[in-house]
Amino acid sequence: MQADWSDERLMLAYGAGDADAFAMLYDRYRGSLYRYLLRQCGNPALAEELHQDVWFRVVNARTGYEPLARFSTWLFRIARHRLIDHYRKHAPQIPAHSVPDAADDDLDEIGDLIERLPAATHEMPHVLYERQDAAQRISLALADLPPLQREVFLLTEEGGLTLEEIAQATGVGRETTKSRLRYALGKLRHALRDLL
Amino acid sequence: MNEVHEDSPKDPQVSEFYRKHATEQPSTAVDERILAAARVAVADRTSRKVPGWWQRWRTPLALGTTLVLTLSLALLHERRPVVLAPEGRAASQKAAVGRAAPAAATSSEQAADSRLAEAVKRDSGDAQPSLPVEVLRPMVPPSGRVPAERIARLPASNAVGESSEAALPAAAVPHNGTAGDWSSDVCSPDLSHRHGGRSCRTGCARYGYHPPGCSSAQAGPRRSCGATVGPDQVAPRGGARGQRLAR
Repeated sequence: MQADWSDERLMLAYGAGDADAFAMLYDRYRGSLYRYLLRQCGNPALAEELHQDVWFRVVNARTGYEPLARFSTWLFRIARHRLIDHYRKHAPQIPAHSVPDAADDDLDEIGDLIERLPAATHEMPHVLYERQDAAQRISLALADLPPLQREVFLLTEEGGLTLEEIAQATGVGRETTKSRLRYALGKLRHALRDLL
Repeated sequence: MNEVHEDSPKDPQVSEFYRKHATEQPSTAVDERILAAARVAVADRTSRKVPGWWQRWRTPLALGTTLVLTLSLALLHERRPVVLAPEGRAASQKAAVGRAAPAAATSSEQAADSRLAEAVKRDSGDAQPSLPVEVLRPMVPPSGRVPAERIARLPASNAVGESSEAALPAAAVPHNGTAGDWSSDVCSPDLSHRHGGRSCRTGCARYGYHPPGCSSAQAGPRRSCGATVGPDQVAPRGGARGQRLAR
């Protein structure tokens, strides 16, 4: 019966003490959240660690959860903030004055910060290009995207967020989000044109 | 809420290709850790014991009991009857009269002495020998002339609404409470009872009074003490040396 429940209702049920509701909720978003984190950080081990942290935050926030927005929006927003925290902690080469405050939601600066981070070695395009299967081609194409465009594409595909929700989660305007998504789709089509 | 606006950029082929081949999943170990943490968090909340009735009511009960005990003690203390000995009543009356009219104490001293003598006679009955008024006068000091330091040393009275001086029994009222008192702390009637009829030198010498049965009564004051002793000639306490100095 809980399979028909919405995400928000499941989360409220979990906040009331129903552990099965959380299991169902986790089953719905475990793959998409993990892939979002994996595409963003490029490291499977790190992606698993971040994935675990995000779900622990969900567990800890169960009593204070209010369904003001969709659960997926809330979940991916937590994941995005966790990613930003990780970038700030593990980017010593970035000058301190360029790292914005935690309360500062000017995400253009954060986007620049993410953009300057080096990609993982095993996610380098020349490494991945040697693998010819489709999944690796997708990974290669996504790794080749600018981080902000990749983020919008992943939030759309994995999280199912609308432009408004992405704009709200990332702190930019809707038109900016729309533009980023358009560019991301165009570049992916160009990179995967032989497979489509 | 989940629908995508029409103006949203779309590329169904790219989206379908991505969803078809993007199949990475977290490991089973991570899944188990997350689900276990979620269950533990809920189990901690459900296993929290509900406080029993004693834990919930012990503080109000303690406060209520304390309040009831305090009120009961206060009411009992206020309603305790004032029990005074007959001597105490006489002394209270005397003290009250003294407080009310200190200036008129001299004029009414004769009347008070007579009343006091009657009260003592009434209380002591026939078994006690009657004492003259002159003897009773030094036993009860003039009103308003008792030093405050002596009163402060006396135990508090049970009487409520009266001063401690007025509530004192007669035996507790100092016999020699005047400011220039030169006598000792032992009065002559006490010594006469203590000696049981024998000669009481101190009482005879200092007060010039011989209680009934005292052997010195027949001999007279000079024979007993050897000299008439006045307030300015009293020998200090110190035994034979003091008496020599007095002579």
